[in-house]
This record gives sequence, structure tokens and C-alpha cells, in this order.
Amino acid sequence: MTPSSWSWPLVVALVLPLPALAQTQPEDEWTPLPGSAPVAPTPPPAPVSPPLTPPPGVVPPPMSPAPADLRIRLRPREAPNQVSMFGAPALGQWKRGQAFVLGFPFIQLKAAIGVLDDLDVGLSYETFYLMHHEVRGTVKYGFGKGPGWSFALALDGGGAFFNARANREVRGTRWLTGRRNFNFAPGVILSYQGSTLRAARLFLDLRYMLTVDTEPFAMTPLQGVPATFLLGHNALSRAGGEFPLSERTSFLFSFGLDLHFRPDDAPAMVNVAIGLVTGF
Amino acid sequence: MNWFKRAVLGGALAAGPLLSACTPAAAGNTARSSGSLALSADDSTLYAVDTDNGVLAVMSLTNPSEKYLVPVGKEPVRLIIGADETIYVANRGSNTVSVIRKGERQVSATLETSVEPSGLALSADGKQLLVTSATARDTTAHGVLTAFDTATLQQAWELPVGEEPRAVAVVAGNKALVSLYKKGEVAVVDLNRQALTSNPTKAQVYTEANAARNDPSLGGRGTAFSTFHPRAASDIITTPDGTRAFTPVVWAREDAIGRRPSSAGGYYSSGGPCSIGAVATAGIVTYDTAGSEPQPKVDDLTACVNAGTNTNASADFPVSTFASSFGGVEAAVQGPTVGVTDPTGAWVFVVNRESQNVVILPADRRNGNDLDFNTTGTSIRSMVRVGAGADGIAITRDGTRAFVYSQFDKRVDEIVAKGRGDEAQVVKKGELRFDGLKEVLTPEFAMGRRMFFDALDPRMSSPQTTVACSTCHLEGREDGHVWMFPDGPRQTPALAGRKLLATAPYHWSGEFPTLNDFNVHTIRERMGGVGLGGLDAVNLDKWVDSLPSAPSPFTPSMEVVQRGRAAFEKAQCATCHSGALLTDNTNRNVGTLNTRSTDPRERDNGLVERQGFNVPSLHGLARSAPYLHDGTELTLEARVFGNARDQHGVTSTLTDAEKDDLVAYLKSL
Repeated sequence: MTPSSWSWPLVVALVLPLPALAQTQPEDEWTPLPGSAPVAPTPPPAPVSPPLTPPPGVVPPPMSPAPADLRIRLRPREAPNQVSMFGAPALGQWKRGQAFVLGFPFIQLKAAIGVLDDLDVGLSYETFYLMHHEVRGTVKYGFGKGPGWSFALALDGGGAFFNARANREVRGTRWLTGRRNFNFAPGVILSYQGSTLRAARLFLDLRYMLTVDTEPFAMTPLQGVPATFLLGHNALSRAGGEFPLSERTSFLFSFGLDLHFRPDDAPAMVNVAIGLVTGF
Repeated sequence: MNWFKRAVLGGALAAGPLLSACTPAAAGNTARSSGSLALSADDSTLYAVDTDNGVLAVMSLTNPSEKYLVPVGKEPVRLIIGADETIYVANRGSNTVSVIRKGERQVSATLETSVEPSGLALSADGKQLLVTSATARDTTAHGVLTAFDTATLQQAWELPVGEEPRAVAVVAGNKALVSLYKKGEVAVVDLNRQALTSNPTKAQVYTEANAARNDPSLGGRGTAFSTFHPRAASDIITTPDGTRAFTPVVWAREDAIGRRPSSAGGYYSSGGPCSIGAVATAGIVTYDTAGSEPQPKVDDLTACVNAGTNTNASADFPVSTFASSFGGVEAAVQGPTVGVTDPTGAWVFVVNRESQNVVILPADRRNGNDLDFNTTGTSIRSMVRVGAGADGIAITRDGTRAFVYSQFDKRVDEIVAKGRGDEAQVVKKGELRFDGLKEVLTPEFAMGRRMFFDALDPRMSSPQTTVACSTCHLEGREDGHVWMFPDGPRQTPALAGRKLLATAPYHWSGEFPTLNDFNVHTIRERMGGVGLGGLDAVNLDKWVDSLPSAPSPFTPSMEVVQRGRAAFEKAQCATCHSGALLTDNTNRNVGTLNTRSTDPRERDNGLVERQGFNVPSLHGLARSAPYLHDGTELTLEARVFGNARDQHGVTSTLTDAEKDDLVAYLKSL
């Protein structure tokens, strides 16, 4: 692969979130609530006078309501989106997140909960369009933060069930995905999120995947009885971003490249996904 | 219950059934050797039975100097090794099984069996030895499966299992499959009940193999392709877990054979399944044996969309024919004898005597990166040449080496894999020879036998045809098949015991006054061979002439023989079936000529219309059913008692008792 082909995903990753980064401050664009009347001009300030003090023993009457033509600018409490299922930031203790991802080669459902401020655990289901079903446990530990930057260690692992037996697949799910009966993927996640309220949370997820094949078979005659299980090794990379739509919901876009080192798998496979991330 | 708990519980519930699906099926026995060859449990010693020499030949693979022979019975054809390393040898010529204990160099016991024992298997617990015999001790109507207690070596039970049983294997569910050699069928025995099961597989194989052609909605003649009957079911090959079995067969064409000799070969060269291969094409029938009853898995040989292929490219069993659309000698597969699966159960190895090779094919698929079924019409993954007369194979426990014994060459070929991945092939690594094995036959007979069993010899058969004499005349006998030749239906006549050199003219029509005429026609016009030289033809004919009849269990008393002979004379059978060979070598019409059938395939024509059929010798009659030129008479009783108009002897003069005597006499010949 040439350097240029390596670099284009990075360019895309940087370009895609630019509209979000270039967005003006939400406060600047705030408009009155629908149906509200024009706001009356503010009266000039009254001359400064000493505060009125009720005479002793006199209870002041309750304050009267605001005049009918007085409108308060109701403004929601804005907060940055911190629900990250694919980036490095942890959810925070007892906060929950979930994601639905549609892509190639996988469809994914993922849910996680923060058990500590910096530690998330979760469960995910992945499928290559119902050709296989993989249930995985996920752990993410955020171990470093900087201004906008954050780092996490992550581990996914679980079992996969394939529709077809291994010896009956011809360039099928295993070949395409590199997955086997059990898959464990430790790795690191690096994220950057700008300081603006709806700034995209960019991430780079790098994993090593250990696959455990519990149904190895004699792929060629007279080449021996295979071991009870076979280990395989993959390298996974994902880059992309969670683009906040609100305080709790983001749009996900990611792409990546998986490298498969088993000789009977596709040597490399691209990975593209879009999805939604939400939190409670 | 919150969403997280619900998700975890749901996942667990979903995973339960998926995990339970991984439970393995019940296991049967494991057979990694078959036929005349076997390996010791530790793969250190190779054992072969040599049919000609009547010995068990032993060779250490770790100590090359350790080789010896153990004399056993006559014509040993198979051996099997028990868990305690006891060796059992089926002696087809002496109706016995020799028992050789571990470490001993002599037979320690001999078991008496029925006629022509061949198949051997051990029950799953190893407590019973199962032996198939071609016929019972008192009738040729059926063969038997006999069980011996391996501890006491006493016969435990015996069961009729059908005509000419050959191989036996124990599969899942404590069942035994028994191949019926000529019929190409499989009998199923419940070993718990020691009884045949209802066995729907017999009809199922034929029905499924010819489904489209015989579909009533298509008028019974639904496609342009012929129907085929499986013959020569020589072995039962099982996977290690006993959940799948395979039977090598020869698919024999049932439709008319066109007389169209061409430059591509004789007129046997085309007309195989899906118009690929010869009129007799080797193949394999798969049985799933994990369920309550074995279920055959067969391609519909009459539903062909592309030349040489069946429609079901993604089926989970091997293609039911070995034919390759490429044809040619290098791709020929003919005369399957025995086979094994590798220790993983992923690969099936089939030894082919007539094409002198071993073919390897996946046990549960027919397509893949390493196979080109869609293009070639064959699911054979690899093929390797071995010696002549191959009928034994054994594979090591680690699945890296296989050995094949060739009776005619008296050698063992070691085969291994070469290369990796999809391009890997199985190749021959070397040859091993036992000490002391001699060529028992004269050079002339040995040459004649090789030609008889050789589908690759261009003198005998064209590269497009690749059939041998033995493809139809199984082991010099017959295949029970009726061929729709241009001059009418003709059943394959037995050659063994019929004294070929003294029974001219030849063919059912008797149109060939000399053997040379016969050879020229059959070898050149039918099989597509370039023809035999004079000496070669003599060698071939002499060897065929020397073949003994299939042994009969009938040894009637002298009194019965005398009565039967008298009935034979009284019914004037001897008018035609005269002399020592019981033929006057003339043509006669015995009322079986059929010139008026509405089905042109069944209509006799040509020479027989004027002078009837060649009178056959009656030697070996008991084992050569069906009878008459068109195979319409299934038993001798039916012929003798059903000869209503006295056209085939004057049997109306006989009492029923005399007819019984006549039948007994005929069976004793």
C-alpha cells in the first residue's frame, strides 16, 4: 500500500468534521421560542438609590409576578456531548450508552455502562448480515486526558456463531471478516474533541485481534490432523468520529482496514460504518 | 428489570440453543484402513493380505529388516485389526476367517464362515466381529452377515442380508451397513436387535438418482438423459464419528446404447450420467447415518443442466459420479474397490483398480477454492497413480501418509501431500515391498489378468472410454445388469467357469465364430481400444478361460444329483446343454425372442431373429442370476416352473418333485 493510499482516510477524517468545527457558537444563533411575542425594549436604568428597608415589624408583601409583556429568554442548559461509545472518553460512573451501527462488513448493537468514572463495561452484538452472530463483552479504561485529547485501553472479546461450518465455507464469513469462534481484541483508542459545544469527537482505534478457531479442519488431504484449536492474528484499525447531534446523541461515521494474517483469510478487508450513539 | 439486565439475559437465552447445537453425534467405529491393507494402532507396522499367495505379509515401518509372512487361508481379500491388535483375515477361497494374535507369526484360530467371506468389521465395543459372506451355507438366494464373539471366537448370530453382500461397516446408532455388491445397494442391520431394518435406502438411491427422468409429471420420460443403476458396491467407507458413510459404485446405463463408434472411442465411450463418461461410470453414494435410518444422498443423474454437472453445486456431499468432462486417461476413474476417510473425516480416499489410481474428494462438499466442480464437472480434489490391482488402503493416525496395496504388482505405494493450500496435491512418495511374495500366476496369465482389469491400456480401451473388461464382468463374473444393446437387451454373462476357449461362438447372438472376431469387435468397436496383438489376445483369453465358477454352497446328495440329472434328461435340457460344458455351442430359440415389443429398446433384432440365442454353458449357474439373455428370469425356480409352453426344455413332462430335483441339480453345476 502506498503512502498516498494510507493518507486518504486521514484526510477524510479531518475534513468530515470541519463543518461541525466551523459552526458558530450556538448562543449566537439562539432565537426566541416559537410563538413568543417580540421583546419590549429594555427601560433605561433607574437612578441608584439606597435599598429599601422595611420598617421593623413590617412584613414585606410577596413580590408580584412579572408584567405580562416581560419575557425571559429561556435557554436550555447546554452541555457538551460526552457519550462516547467508540472514542476514548469513558461514559462516567453509572452512565449508560448504546449504539447502533450499520456498515460493512458488520451490523452492530452495542451497550455499555460506566462502572467507574474511567471504566466502562458493555456488551455488543455483531453480525455479518446474519451470516454469523458474535456476542462480545467490552471493557474500556480511560487512562489519560489532555486538552481535548483522551486515551483509552480497550478490550473486546466473545464468541461467534457461524451459520456455515468452517469446512463448508468457501470465501465466506470467516474469510471475509477474519473472525473465528472466539475473538479477543485488545487495543488503544485515541480521541480528540474540540472545545466547542458540538465539536466532533474524532477517534483512532487500533487493535490486535486474537482469534481462536475451535473447528479447524484438514483443508488439504494428507496434511495432517489439525490441532484442537488454531490461533489467528488480525490487526484492526478504525478512524472516524462521533458527531454530536445533541447532548446525548451522536452520529457515527467510521472507516478502517482490517489486516488478516491467517493464510486462508482475505489478507485485508475495508471496514465502513455509520450509526447512532446515544446515552442515558 | 432494567435494559442492561434484559440484554444480558436475552443474550444468554440466545446462546443456549446455539451452544447445544455443537453437541457431537453418537460415535461409531473408526476405520482408517480398508481391503487388503492395514496399519497397526501405532502406525509402526504394515499388514497386507496377498490374495494370490494366501498370506498375511507383515512389514515394520520402523525397522526395515523386520518383514515376514503368515500363511492364512485361500484367497485372503480383507483384514481388520482389533483394539487388542488381533488381526482377522477373510479368506474368500476357503470360507474362513484367520485369527492372528498380536506378536504371533502364525494363525491362532480359524473361524468357519459361509461362502466367500469378504467384509469385516468390529462392533463399536469391539466384542463382536462381523463377517459378510456372498451366500449362505445352504442357498444362493441371499448372503449373510455373521457375528463372532471376539473373546470366545464362537459364532454369535447370523442374518440373511440380501444378494451378494460384500463390505460391512458399523455406523452411528449401533447399526451396520452392508453393501450388496451386484445390486449396488446397502442393507442396514440393527445390531441391537440383530435384524434388518426396514431399509428404505434401496429404492431411495435409485429413485433419487433418476428422479427427473422418472418424474410422473413429466410422463415418465422426463429428460433426454438415461436412467442409471448402481452396481459393484464394493466397500462401505465411514467417517471417524460414524455419522456418514460412502459406497463406491459403478453407474450402469439403462437406456439404449447407440452404435456410434467414432474417433473419440468405441460406442461405450459416451452415454454416462449427464452425457459424460462411459456407459459404465464410477461414482459414490453418500449416506447420512446419524439419524434413526441411514439417508442416502445422491445426485439426480438425470437432471443435468451443464454437461457433466448436476444442478446442486452447493450440496454437502460428494458428486455422485467420478466422471470428468475433460476425459482422457489421466483423468480416468474406473473400477473402485475400497476406500477410507482421513482421521478428520474431511477427505474420502477411493482406490480404483481399473484406472490404477486413488482419488481424493471432500466428504461434505463439492465446491471450493481448491475444487473446480463448476468447470470440470468433477469434485475430485486430487488423484495419484498407484500399482495394478489395487484393493487395499490404510492411512496413518496423524493423517499425513497413506499406503495402497496393489495385488498384481505386489507392492505398497506410499502417498503424501505436496505443496500447501489450494494448490497442494497428493503425490506418490515411494514404493515398499514385502519379502517373499511371489508371482503365482504364469507370466501369460499375469499379463492376461492385467489387461482384463486395465481401463487405461490403449490396446483395450480408448482414453475417452476408459472401461475395462472387469467394469461389467465384475471379477470375471457378471454385474447383474441388462444392457440395451443395438441388437436388443443383453444381460452381462458370467465368464468365470464358462470355459471361454471351448464355447465358440460368442455373444448372446453367437455372431462371432472365433475369439479373435469377438475381441476385434468388443475391444475396438465398443471399448475403443486399438486392439490386441495375437499374443496379447491369447494371454487374455487364456486367463479368462482359467477362471473358476463362483463357488456354490449346494452340495446335494448323490441321490438328488442323480434324480436331478434324470429330470434334466427327461426334460430334454441336454439336447442343447450337452457335453462337459453343458452347451452344444449352437443358437436356439427358447421362446424368449422378443421382436414385437412396442419399446424398441426391448426388441431383439439381427442374427437372433433367424436363429435364436447362443446356448450358454450352465456352469456356475447358481451364482449368475438373473437368467436368460434379457435377464427377465430372476431365479432358476421361476424358469423351470414357469416354462409354460415347453419352449425351453420339455418341463411339462416333469412332476413338481422332479422340477425341484432339476433345480437342485442345476444349482450344483
